Amino acid sequence: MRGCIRPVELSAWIDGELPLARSWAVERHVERCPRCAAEAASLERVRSAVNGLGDSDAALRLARRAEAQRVLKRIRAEVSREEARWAWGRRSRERAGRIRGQDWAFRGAVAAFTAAILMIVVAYRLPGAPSAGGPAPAPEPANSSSSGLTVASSREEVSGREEASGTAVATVVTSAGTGAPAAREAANPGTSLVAWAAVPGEAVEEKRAAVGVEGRAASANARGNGVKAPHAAATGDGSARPTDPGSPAKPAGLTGGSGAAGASPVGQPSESTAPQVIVSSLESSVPPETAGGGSETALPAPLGSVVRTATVASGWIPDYYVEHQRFAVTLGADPDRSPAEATVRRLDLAAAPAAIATPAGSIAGSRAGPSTGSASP
Amino acid sequence: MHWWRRTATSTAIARKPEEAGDGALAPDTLLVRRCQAGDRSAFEELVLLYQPRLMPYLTRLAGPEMAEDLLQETFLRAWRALPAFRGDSSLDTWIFRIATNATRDWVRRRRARPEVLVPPLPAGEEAEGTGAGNMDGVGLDSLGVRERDPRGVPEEAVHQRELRDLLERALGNLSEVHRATVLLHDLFGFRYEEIATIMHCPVGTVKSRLFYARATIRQVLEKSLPAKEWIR
Repeated sequence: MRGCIRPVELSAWIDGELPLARSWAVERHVERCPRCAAEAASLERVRSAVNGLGDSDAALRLARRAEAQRVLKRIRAEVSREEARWAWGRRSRERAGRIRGQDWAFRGAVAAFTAAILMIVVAYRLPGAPSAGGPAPAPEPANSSSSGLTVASSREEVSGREEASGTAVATVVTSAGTGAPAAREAANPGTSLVAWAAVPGEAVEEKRAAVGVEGRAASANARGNGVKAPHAAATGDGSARPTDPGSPAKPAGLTGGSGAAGASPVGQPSESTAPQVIVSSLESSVPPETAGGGSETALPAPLGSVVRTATVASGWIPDYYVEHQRFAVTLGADPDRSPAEATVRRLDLAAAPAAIATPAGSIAGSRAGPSTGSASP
Repeated sequence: MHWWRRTATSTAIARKPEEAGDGALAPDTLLVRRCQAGDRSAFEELVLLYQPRLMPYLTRLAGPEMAEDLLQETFLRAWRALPAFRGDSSLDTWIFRIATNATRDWVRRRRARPEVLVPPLPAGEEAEGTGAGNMDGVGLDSLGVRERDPRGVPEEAVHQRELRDLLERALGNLSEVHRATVLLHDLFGFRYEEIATIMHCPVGTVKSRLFYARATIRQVLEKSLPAKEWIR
């Protein structure tokens, strides 16, 4: 019949789920439409039949009274287990929280200790450093062209700069694992690669550092498992003056180095202005006679003093806490010299030291090459 | 009136009440609060209260073999979620929703990991009911109810049993969502909106699913029995 109610609506109508006005309209239609009335009646019969299943379910419930107890027992046991797990988890979280708090405190203490040691070493162990009570040199903005040292914030950057333009770099790597600076290295235009690695208890493949200031250069080498006593040489021929930003890199600036142990300034030997390289406190499991590490060796001229530090970046990567610090140093004893900047890259080697040792070794091997006792690149 | 409203547990569960008429908290609200306060005995009361209703529902949704496991899963989920229960819906809607979700998850797992299917029984044996995972052929025997030998009972009882078996088979032939919809409405008395909440779907979908399910059941019944025989 035209205008019949849709079956879906009829179904909702017998359920009483239509709005009142619509429900009346459907009711009026069903009263005079046998087809819709039949449809509604059959749907109602189905509804009643399904509803009648509840009676058999009532019998079912009686039959399953024992089963209900069994289900309850299972649920009770499972809830108890889960409660125990929760309690254990809560205790674990609390314990972990305590440990984590202690760990952070420990890391903070180590970092503070490292920074303090670094500052003390730089400020007091270097000849020509300003006295503690004296006025500190006013910090000046880093200027690579005037200072001759540029900042390298990563290993890759160091390599790239050196290769591309021969600009000098100064890099300090400290190992927060021991709280002591592992190595500090600096180089000027024309020096060879500064390779570094500082992994507590792990081999340091090879190190070579060179510094040149105003035509004088020095280098230090450290290699092997641990660090051998650094050989140092200083040379200066004025060929790589850092004040000349346009001058290309001239590796010859170090070729005059003897490679013998100890500082040997060439050209214009000057104790007060010769650069200095410090390799200190490298942790090593190698016996002292072969490692030679753990001590601090300095070339006989001051590098300068730290005038300011700043943390420029820090962050976590899995297993490591990495922090880049920049600090400015004055070179030599010349107070008029603009401070050069260096970078501290602090690696907190909480785990997996091999991950650090490997790239360091590869850099040392591929870039620095063998350098035992040689100041030449 | 629906069967479960008529039966004993209706004293404990009111349908929507945060408060009873006299201002006192409704029984299910009290029960929930006791559960939330960590009262294990209250939770066991809740289990005993809902187990008789959930068991037939889960049996018809997932088959007798899985019903008990799903019942346990339902109550465990409820126990975990009770602290977060805010009473936005009534307790029975909430519990049935958990049961439906648990069943749906189980159905998904089963589809993702197909099991070896039990070969279908010959037509004569099918009505005896040995549901294996689905609801095909789920009769009272498979639900654990033993009836007397039909030869010794009146004809009406035989007829009723035949009708029930047919209904169970028709329900078993429906998809899970249609089966759940028709059970929730026609057997357990939920309103369309409550079913929409339980099934996570719009009310209009509930309406169309319910009609489709009824039409399918009607088709099965009409094919097997003269109309006058299945009119109650």
